[in-house]
Amino acid sequence: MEAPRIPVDLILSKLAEDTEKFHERVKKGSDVLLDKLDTQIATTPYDIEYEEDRVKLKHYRPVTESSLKTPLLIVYALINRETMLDLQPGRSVVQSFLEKGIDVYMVDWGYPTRKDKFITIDDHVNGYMDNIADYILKKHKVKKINLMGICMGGSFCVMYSALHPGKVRNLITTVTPTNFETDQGLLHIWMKHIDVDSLVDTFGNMPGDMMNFGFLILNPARLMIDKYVGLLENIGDKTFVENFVRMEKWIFDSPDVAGETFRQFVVDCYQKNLLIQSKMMLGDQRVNLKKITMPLLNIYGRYDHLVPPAACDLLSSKVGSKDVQDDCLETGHIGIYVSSRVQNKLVPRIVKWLEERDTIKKTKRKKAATKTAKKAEEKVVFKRKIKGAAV
Amino acid sequence: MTDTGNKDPGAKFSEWLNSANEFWGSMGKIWQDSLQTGCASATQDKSDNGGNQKGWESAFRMWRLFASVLAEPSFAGTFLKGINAMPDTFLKVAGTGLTGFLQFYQQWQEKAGRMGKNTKAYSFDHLDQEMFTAWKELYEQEIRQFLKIPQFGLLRGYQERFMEGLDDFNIFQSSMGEFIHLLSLPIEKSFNVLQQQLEELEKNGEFPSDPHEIYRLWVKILEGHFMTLFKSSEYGESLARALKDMGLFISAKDNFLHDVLQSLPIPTNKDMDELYKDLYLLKKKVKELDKKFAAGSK
Repeated sequence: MEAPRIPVDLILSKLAEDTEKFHERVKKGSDVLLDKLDTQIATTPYDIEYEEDRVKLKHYRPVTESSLKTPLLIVYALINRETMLDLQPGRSVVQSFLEKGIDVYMVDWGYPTRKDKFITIDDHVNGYMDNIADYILKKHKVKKINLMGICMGGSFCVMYSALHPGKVRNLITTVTPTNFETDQGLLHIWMKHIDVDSLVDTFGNMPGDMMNFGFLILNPARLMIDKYVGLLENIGDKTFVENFVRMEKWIFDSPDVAGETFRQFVVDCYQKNLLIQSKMMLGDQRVNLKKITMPLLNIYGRYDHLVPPAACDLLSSKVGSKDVQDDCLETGHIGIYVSSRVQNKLVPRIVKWLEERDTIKKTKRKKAATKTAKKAEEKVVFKRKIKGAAV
Repeated sequence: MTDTGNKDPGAKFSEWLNSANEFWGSMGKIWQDSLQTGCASATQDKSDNGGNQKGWESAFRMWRLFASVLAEPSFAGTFLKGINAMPDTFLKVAGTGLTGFLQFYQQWQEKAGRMGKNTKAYSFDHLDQEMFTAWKELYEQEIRQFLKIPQFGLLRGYQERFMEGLDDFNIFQSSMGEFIHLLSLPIEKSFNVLQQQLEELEKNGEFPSDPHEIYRLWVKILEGHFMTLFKSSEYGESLARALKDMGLFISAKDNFLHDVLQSLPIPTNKDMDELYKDLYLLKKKVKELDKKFAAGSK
């Protein structure tokens, strides 16, 4: 009989080597885990400037002079928390915006409790968001704000811009689902089967942990097995462990979603796909995408398994604006905000796009620059004249 | 499947004993053989193993002997004569229960015989979920009706809600079992595919020397299997069923707890929801008026 061609000696020596490494790792790992770890998230300083029910408005303290006249309001999704945009110094979208001179406001939706189960999308968009926008407009004495939405928060921003076009100067949507009629993402497939009425009637609010479990089983091999194998392999690396814990803190910090909001989002968006058809109703108002006439920058990830490109890229052809740009980045749903590689592209891209459109300030700046240049020229001419007269 | 519905209880009883005897007889033979092989190759504790094996063999012989005697038609007749002496209602209950149990048992045996046959890689269409459907059918046909018996008297409402909770719990368990079984399939299938791929690699002389590579290969195969499963309509339906049944069970449990809480000085969710709704509508109205007032005063 032919002997099996398995390099047993190599495998055994590799295993022995690994066992040795494992012992070393366990020792280092216990040192790391017992040591003081810096795992804080959302450390960029901010002030709470507006509060309504459980909703808060964070205003980040500027670190440099504003480069734009119009402040930027960021609206995060109701699923997970906005802390993802400020995970850690050096990997913080918020911090990068501040460094580029953007005045940043961000909505913190808080943790809905049972009493919030009746709150609808209309309450979120025409209530909280509109009140927050009014507060910023009044404070800055401007007529419009720049609006940036993330995921479901992006969908809210699309709805808001369609219903209040007069208050939005520029709209930026990132990984924002607007077209739900696609079988590219598993969420889109599963949501078609879900009896959302039964879920909401049973739970009141949609439990965050249940949704998180749903996200985990989108890819259990990677998210429930390989991820933790990766942690074990790097358990001796303090920086790796700190980053890992930060990410875990963020992932499993999942507020419940207000029941009526969840019900409408699943039925009207996932099951009936009303938003992209301009048929969605908020209260007694129809969300007509043609009313979105302000410039739109639509950013999404090519490898996004939660909100695939097909769920995002239809928006630009449905809005009324003529200044529309789609930007597909080579990354996934979360990578767009937390990967250092992508972050180095994302923030400068948004800032440049905003600067090109923040016309009032730019014209003023240009005028000021021309004025200064003219003055300087006049001075030179005057000096020359004096010199000439003296000669 | 054999139709057991038309046979008399004696025949059903001996049929069950015979089939059980055959099944466990063949299983016992496999275990005995494997034990003997294990003993022959072992170098230590030979005497101990021999002792255990002898004891096990004798217990097994006793059980087979006992079961074969029980399966004799004459014995079954005597046994059932005793049963006939019991009240008719009890017999009816026992009879229907026995029929359902026999059906379930036979399906389970058939399923056990087929185990491992349906392991086509990356395929989750037309899954054989007979184990779960058999249990569900048995439950729905034979057990559920007892939980649906109308209740009487002052406490009938409370009893009914308790029974409803119990019923929904059983259905939820069944749906959840089916869902969890579905989730476990990719793991089973991925190991089979890994085995095949390793054999291929071994044939080509490319067997990985680094165990990590084997792990990475397995994770990749597992991921592929999960993706295929998640896109199948069977999974979507099973997920929806599990969630729906969980919802029904939680609602039934809440209704039952509502009854319990009524006797305690604690507000129930229902009470609070009514209050919350009032509060929500009131706040909305106030905010609207506030806005109107602010707009009017400008």
